[in-house]
Amino acid sequence: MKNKSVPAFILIPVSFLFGVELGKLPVNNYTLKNGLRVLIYSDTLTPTVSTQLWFKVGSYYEPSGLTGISHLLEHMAFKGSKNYPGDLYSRLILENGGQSNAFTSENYTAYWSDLAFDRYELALKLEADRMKNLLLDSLEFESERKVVMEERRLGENSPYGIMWENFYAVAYLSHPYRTPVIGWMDDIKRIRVSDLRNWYRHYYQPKRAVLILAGNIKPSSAIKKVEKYFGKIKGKDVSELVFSEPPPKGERRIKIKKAVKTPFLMIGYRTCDISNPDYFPLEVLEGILLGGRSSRLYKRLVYEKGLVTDIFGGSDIEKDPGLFYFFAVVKDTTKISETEKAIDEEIERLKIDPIPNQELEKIKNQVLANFFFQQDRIRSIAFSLAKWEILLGDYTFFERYPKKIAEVKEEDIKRVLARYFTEDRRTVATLFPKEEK
Amino acid sequence: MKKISLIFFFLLNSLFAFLIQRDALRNGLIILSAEDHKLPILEIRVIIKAGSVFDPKGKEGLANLTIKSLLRGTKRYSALEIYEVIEAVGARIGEWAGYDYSQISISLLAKDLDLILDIISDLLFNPSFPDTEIKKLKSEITAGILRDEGQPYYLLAREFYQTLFAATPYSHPTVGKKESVEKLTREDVLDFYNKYYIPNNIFLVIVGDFKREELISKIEDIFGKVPRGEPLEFSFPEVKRLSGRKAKIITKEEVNQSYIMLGHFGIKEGEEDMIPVRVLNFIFGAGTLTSRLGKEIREKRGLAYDVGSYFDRRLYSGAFVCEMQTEIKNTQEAIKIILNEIAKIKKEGVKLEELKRVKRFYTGNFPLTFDSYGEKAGLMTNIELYHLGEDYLGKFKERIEGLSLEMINEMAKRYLDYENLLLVIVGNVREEDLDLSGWEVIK
Repeated sequence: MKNKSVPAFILIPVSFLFGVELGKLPVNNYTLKNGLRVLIYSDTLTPTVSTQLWFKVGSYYEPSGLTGISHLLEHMAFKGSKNYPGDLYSRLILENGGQSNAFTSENYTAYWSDLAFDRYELALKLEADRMKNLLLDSLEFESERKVVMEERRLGENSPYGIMWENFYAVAYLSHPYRTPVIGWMDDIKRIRVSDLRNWYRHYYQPKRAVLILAGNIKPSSAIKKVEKYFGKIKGKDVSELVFSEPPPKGERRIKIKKAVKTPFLMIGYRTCDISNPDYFPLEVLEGILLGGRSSRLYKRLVYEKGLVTDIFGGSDIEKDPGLFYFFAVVKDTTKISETEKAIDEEIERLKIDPIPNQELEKIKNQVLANFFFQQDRIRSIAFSLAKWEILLGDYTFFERYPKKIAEVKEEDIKRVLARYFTEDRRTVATLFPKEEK
Repeated sequence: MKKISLIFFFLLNSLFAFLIQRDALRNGLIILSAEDHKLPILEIRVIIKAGSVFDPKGKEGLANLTIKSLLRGTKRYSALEIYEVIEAVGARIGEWAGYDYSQISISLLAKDLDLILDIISDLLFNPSFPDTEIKKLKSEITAGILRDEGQPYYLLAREFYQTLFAATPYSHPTVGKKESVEKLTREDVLDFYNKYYIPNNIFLVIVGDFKREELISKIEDIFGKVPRGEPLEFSFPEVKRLSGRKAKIITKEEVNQSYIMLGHFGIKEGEEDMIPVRVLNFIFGAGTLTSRLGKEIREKRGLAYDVGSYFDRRLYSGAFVCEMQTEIKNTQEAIKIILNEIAKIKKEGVKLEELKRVKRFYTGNFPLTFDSYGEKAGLMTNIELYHLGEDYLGKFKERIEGLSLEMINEMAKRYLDYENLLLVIVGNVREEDLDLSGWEVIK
């Protein structure tokens, strides 16, 4: 067990960026003997504590036939254990005035509970129990499976949901990012409770987990409590799965039809993974093209040309090679090709013309401001720290991020534009309105 | 200039205090401020007490168009310049109209306070409403309506409120209808603006890293010169109660679930019964996993992912709504369960254990409700807008703890109804697929 620092205040000044003091975050980190990573973020000015347990498992790890199993397990993790049967996990948190929930992504599954600062031990106790003692009862599973099928249907009824699912299934050829986190309907129906139990035993290991406590706590006493509840949990090593995606052989283009009134256009370029230095210029590029109403694409497509009602997107890199995407809600079908052309032109213009320094400064200011906005809610800062720890094994990424962005130069942006924004790396999906019967 | 000032002090425990200061300028502008120096940021809300409920008949969407027009040009800045100036310092701005009020909301770094205050005053009291911009905005809004019509939930909610609040200004969506927005003119916007955008109809909420004395004098310098306007009169029409059970089915063949809303009139926000009614609803339907509806529909039977009920927050009237989405074949069963649960809670009341549990929740949850600058600003907005009173926070715990079983059961009798109801369904379902005996099907 190691103890890195004992912070006294919320922000210890280390550097100045654009006149604002950038702090070193008050995080203590530990590794228990069983391999569990523990982060403690202390903020003595908040009356709450957010307790979160993140596991390195999600749709990324799921084989064909079992897609959606990580998400199903997340649902079943609220259905009781030997010690806390039935709905006791949720009920105990609720009766203590807390809020709790969970979410599943490609590369992680996370559980969180927020409680008043003097009650967080309850969440620790429950999360430790959840790691090892889930019942995964077969009757409960049959009922919960139906809930998840309803959740999937909600996505099918949303034009945005349909667009995403189809787009990713085409943008990736073999990499598991091609399957939706919620899973395919056939698999949700197929998965057996025994599959779920195996999945749970295999992946819910201390070595594959990050526990974060954020809020008004003293690290020295909090870590003792963590030891008390998690120290005895035994774990095993699980070999890491690695997937890659073959190099793109050319543009992929699909048309989807749905009973909507306005068409959607989605364009994505295959980019890099999270550890690549190109990560940061891509983030700045997102700001230039899509960050707010002063961004290039908003100005051109929404404001000046009136081609679309919304344009959003950006660099979407979860862990493995990701996408830089544009999602446009086009006003009508006659404007689709003009919209696509305008997006292309803006990319080409950026490749050739100089980028005004003022524009780069703006993006850097936005990132800096966001860095503080994110810390406003204790739960969100815990989300960020845990996410980077799970994905990179390095929560300090969060505090280094604004500085890394500040270091991005025009030539870095030009480099990523030339490297990734090519026709061969592109996927284009269009959703057309279909006549309703 | 002399200002009137009030302080609400609320002590959560010996460690945490939440101090709200209420200042009023001579021209009637109210400032609610709460210092919090944890982060170098500020959260500002500008509330104009004129939402879509003030849209004149036939001009639905005017409040929304007006607030959106503010950002499309002032005598000093063009629309693009406004976006540029705000976003250059990393600030975020959003503007929209709700039912009861219109709002501009800004998050910023504390060092940019002067710049942002100056822009806010420019937007509020110096807009130029360029005709070309208003035309563009109208086209953006109507295209947005078409976009939303592709979402079953949007169609459901629009139909439900339109039918429930028929003949009142709560019946139309805040953005208006496509036909009404198309007809709005610059003159309409100017009229609305001149009538409602006056200092005595506006309040500011500011939370974060500032010093109150300095802040108030800055605001006084910038906003104090604007003259007070004519006091406004507004009366909300009498709502026509529902009589009997009415059902409306909107068939959408591609939608493989029934999107259901079932409910009736609720309660005005800020009324005496609001707290016990919310407690009742907590037991009945708030909480997907733990409420009675959640248990019966999701946890026991797996019929829905989202299920719940709420009493919404409106100034002049209110709605009570149960909503869920379920596979088409379960539609009838789901509706039956909701109706049974309403009947049951009215007849049998709630259990003492349930009440104890909800009391524990509300008292324990209280600190979590103002855990961030944004939440503090939201809470302060509600206190002012819905006249919750300066002792709202201080007395909250006491009021929750004082609630008796009889009182909650009385709320169930008074505010829940299973005989006079409105049901709206959107999905691949037809009238003939359902047993709607006892329901009047409306088109």
